[in-house]
Amino acid sequence: MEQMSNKANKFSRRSFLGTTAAAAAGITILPSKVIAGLGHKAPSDKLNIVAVGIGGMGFANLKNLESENIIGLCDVDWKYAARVFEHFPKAKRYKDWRKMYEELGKSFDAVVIATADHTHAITAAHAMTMGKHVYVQKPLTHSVYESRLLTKLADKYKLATQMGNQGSSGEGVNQTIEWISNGEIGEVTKVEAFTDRPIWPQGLNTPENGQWVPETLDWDLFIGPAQMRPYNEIYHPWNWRGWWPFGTGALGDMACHILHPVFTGLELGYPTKVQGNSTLLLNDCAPTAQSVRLTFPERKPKKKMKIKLPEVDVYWYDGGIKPMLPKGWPAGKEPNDAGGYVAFHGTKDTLICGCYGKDPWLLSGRVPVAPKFRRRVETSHEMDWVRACKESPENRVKTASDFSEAGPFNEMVVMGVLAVRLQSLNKELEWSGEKMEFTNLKDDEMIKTVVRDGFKIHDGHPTFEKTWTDPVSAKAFAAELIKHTYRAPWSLPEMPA
Amino acid sequence: MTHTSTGRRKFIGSATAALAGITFLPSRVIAGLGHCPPSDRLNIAGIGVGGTGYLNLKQMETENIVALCDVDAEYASRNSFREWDTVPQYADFRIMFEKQKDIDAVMIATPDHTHALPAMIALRLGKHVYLETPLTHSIFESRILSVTAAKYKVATQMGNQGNSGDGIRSVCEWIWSGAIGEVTRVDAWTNRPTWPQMLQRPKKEMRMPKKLSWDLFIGPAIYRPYHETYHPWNWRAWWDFGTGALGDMGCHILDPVFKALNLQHPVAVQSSSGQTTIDSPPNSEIVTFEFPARDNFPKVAMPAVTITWYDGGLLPTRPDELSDDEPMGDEDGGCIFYGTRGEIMCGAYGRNPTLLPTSQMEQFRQPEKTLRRISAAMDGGHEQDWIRACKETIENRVETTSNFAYAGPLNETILLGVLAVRMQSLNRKLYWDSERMLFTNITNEDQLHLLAENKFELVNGDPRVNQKHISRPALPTIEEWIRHTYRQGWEQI
Repeated sequence: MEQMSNKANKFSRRSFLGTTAAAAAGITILPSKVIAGLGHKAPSDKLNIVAVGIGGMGFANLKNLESENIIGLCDVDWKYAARVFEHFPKAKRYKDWRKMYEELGKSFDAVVIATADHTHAITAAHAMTMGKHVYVQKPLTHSVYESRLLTKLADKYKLATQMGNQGSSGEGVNQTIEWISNGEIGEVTKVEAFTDRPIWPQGLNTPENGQWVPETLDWDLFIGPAQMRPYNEIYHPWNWRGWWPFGTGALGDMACHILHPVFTGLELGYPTKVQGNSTLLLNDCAPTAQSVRLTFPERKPKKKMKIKLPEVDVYWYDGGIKPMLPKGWPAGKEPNDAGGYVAFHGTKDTLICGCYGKDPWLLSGRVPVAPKFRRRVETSHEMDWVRACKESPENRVKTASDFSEAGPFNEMVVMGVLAVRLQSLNKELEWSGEKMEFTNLKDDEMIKTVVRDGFKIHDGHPTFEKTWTDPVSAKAFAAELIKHTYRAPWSLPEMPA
Repeated sequence: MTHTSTGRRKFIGSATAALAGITFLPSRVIAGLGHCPPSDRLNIAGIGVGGTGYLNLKQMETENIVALCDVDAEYASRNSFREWDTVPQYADFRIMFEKQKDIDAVMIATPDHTHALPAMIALRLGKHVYLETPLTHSIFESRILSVTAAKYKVATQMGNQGNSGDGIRSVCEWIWSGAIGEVTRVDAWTNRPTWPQMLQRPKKEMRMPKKLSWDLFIGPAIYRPYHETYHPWNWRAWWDFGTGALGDMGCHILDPVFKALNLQHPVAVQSSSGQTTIDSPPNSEIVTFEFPARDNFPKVAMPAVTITWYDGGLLPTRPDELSDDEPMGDEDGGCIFYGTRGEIMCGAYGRNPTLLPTSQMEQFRQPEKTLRRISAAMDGGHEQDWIRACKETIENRVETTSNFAYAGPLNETILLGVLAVRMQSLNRKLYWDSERMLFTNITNEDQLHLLAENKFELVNGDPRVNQKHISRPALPTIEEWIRHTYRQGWEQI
C-alpha cells in the first residue's frame, strides 16, 4: 500500500506540475485558444469544461453551462451518472478525476465539482495547481484547513472561482447587503437563522453490515481520502450528507445559502468563539437538530458603510427548531422562506430575509431605498463564473462567490460543525482563525462520542445501551476535524505561504 | 373477579356519607376526614403498577397494599402482581373502586391519558391520591383535579419526587433571601427523549398479548388497534397517550422554578421543534414561557420572567459564569436562574443547587432553613410525606409540598408548552388566558397545518420524501386538545 501510494503520488504530482509550469512560462503549446488562468479569451470563445460528480447537483450546474464545451465527465457511479453521460454524448467519461485531469489536462480550462463534500477540496485543489478555474458546489470544503487551502490557491494561481451558492448572484443578497450597509437597521449585534432541513434521515446508527457494491460504482473512489468502510446504499448516492466522514449535515447543505448575506453583509471574517449543541450526537452520523452560536469580534468596515460593525453573535438552528419570533412579528406569517430564515437584529430595526437573502423586509414595515452598489448578475451563477474565467486576471471582475470570500465564509459554516461535534467538552470554544486552532483546549482534555444508540424494546422493556468511542485527546480530535488525515494515496497540494 | 355493577350513584353515596362524618366503614380510618395515628397503616391501591408505579408502591410498603390494578396482567406480573400476589388484582379501575371499599388512598401511575379519570373518581370517593407526573394529559383535566382535590380536602401529591428534596428548598430560600436579586430569565433543559419519537402510526395490526385489556388501555382516548409501539413502554411517544419529553421531565425540572419564583399561569408561550406529526411528538423542542410579575416577597421582588425550555439534547447557551470544566446541570438536565445580582444553577429535580460562579459557594452564607426538610426525598421520602399527610386530620394536616393546589398550575404550564409545540404552524406568540383556558389571539379563520404522514424511503438509492400535511380549523382543534372529549363509555371529566 505504501509503495503504491508513493508511486501514484509521484506520477500524478509530476505531470500536474508539468502542465502548470508550462502554463506559467507562457508557452503556448496547448491546442486550446486559452491558457487557463493566464491568458484571456474573447467572450465569444467557448470554455472547455470538465465536471466531477455529475449525477446530482452537478447535472443541474452543467445544464446551465451548455453554451460551453463540456469535454469530460467524471463520476464514481456510472449508473447514477448515466443520464448525464447521455445528455453530453461528446464528453469523455471517467470514474477517476485524476485520470481525467491527466488525459484532458491540456485541453480543459475549467472544472465543475459537485462530488460529496469530502472530495471537494482534493478535486478542486489539484485542478487549481494545474491553473484551472473551478466551480465548486457548496459547502466549499469539508474542513477548515481545506477551505483555507482553496482560498490561498485561488489567490496564488489567479483563477476564476465560484462556490455553488447560487443565491449569492441573486437580487435578495444584494438588497439585504445594501440595506444593511446603508444603515437601514443600524448596528447589528445579533443574527438568528434557521433551516428546516434535514428532511432526510439523520441521527442514524452506522449500518452493521455492508452491501454488495453495485458493479457500476467504484466504491474506493467514492471513499477517496476518507477512511474505508463497507459500502451501503445509505451513504451513496444520496444520503452521504448525513454522514460526518462525507458530509456536513444540514449546516453544510443550507448554511452556505442562508448565512451568505450575513457573512458578506456584516463582513464577518473569522469567529472568535463558538458553541453548539444538538440532538443525540453520534460519532458517524449528523444529528437531527442542531443549534450553534458563533461570535465574531468587532470589525473595521472594509468598504464604505454607514454603520459600525460591533461584536456580533450569530445563532444557527436546524432540524425544525428555530429562534423565537421577534417582537412585532405579523401573526401567522410563515418565517420559513425557501428553506430558511435570517433575522438581523439592529439597533434601529430588524431585517428579515429567507434563504439566499430572499425577499428582505423590515419588521417595522418601512421599505428602505438604498443605493445599489452591488453588481447585478444578469446571466446565471454558473455563467457569471464562465464570464470571469474568460477575463484576464488583471481585469477580472470577481464572481459573487469568489473563493476570496467563499473560503472564509465556508470556514464559518464548517465551524458550526466543529461546535456541534465538540459539544461534549461543555465549554465555549475559543478559536484562533489565524492559527486554525482552538486556544482553550487543554493537553489532558479527553473527548468521547456515542458510537451507537442501542435503544431497544424487548418484550416491552426498554434498554438504553449506548456504546461510546474510547476517550481520545480532545486536542488531537479537534485537530483532525480541522485538518483531515487523508487515506493513502490521496493527498492535497501544499498550502501556499 | 366478579364484577358487580355499582355505578355513579353509589360512589356519590359513599362520598356523601364520608362528608357527613358517619363512620360506617370497616377500615380504621375515614379517608380525608378522620385521623389515623401514625402507627396505623393506610390501605393503598395501586393503578398502573407495571412500570414506575411498582417503584412508587415499593416506597409505600410501610402501608397495606390492598388492591392492584393494571390493564396488562402480564406486564404487571413482572413485579407488582408477583410481589403482592395475595392482593386482589384488577384490570379496570372503575371496577376496583366499585368492589373494594377498604381503600384509603390510591397511587396512580398509568400512561398520561388515564391519569385524570381514576384520580377524579378517587377524589370524589374521598380517597387520598398520589399521581405520577405529568398530573394530567389535558389542561382542563388538570384544573378540575385541583379544584376537586380542594373540595374533598384529601391529601394529594404529584410524583415529582424532587419537590420533597433538599435542593429545591435551598433554591427557594436562596432566591427568597435575595441572594441573586430579581429573576427575569430562566433556562431549563433535559436530555430526554432518549427513546424514539416522531414515529409513524403502524399500518399493520399486531396480535394482542393474551393478558392485555387493550380497550382499557385506550380508556377515554380514541380507539386504535393494538401495536407494541404503544404499550407497554413507548406510549409517551404518542400524543394520544403521552406528552413527549416535556411531559416526562417538565414537572421535575421546572419544579424548582415554579416554586422558587411563585409562578402560577403563563401569559404567553411560543415554541419550535423537530418534526412532529399529528400523532407523535418531536425529538427536540424549544419552548418559551412568559410569566407576569407576581407579588413581591419580603426580601425580593418577583418581576415578569421568561423561561425557556430545551429538550432532546438541545441546550441553552452556557452562562459565562460557568467555567470550562464544569458540567452544566446534571445527566438528566437542569435549570439556571438569571437574577439581577447573580445566578443559581441546579440539576434535574432541583438537585445540587449552586451559585454561579461556583466559587461563590465558599463564602456564601446560606440563609436560614425556613422550609421543612424531608429525609431521603428521592428514595421514598416523597411518597412517605404523602402518607404522613394522609394520616393527619384536615385541620392539622401539613400539606405535602406537591399537592394538587401547587402541582396543578405547574402541570398546566407544562401542558401549555406541549400545546405550543403542536400549534407551531400558527407562527405567532400565543397569548394565554388561563382563567378562561383559551388562547386569545387565534381567530376563526386560523388553520393548523399538521404533518399527517412522513414517509422516507430510498428507492435504488434515490430519496423519496413523502410528506402529507393536513389542515384543521385551529380553534376547535385546540379546544379539543385543551379539553379532551372522552370516548363513549367513559365518564367525561
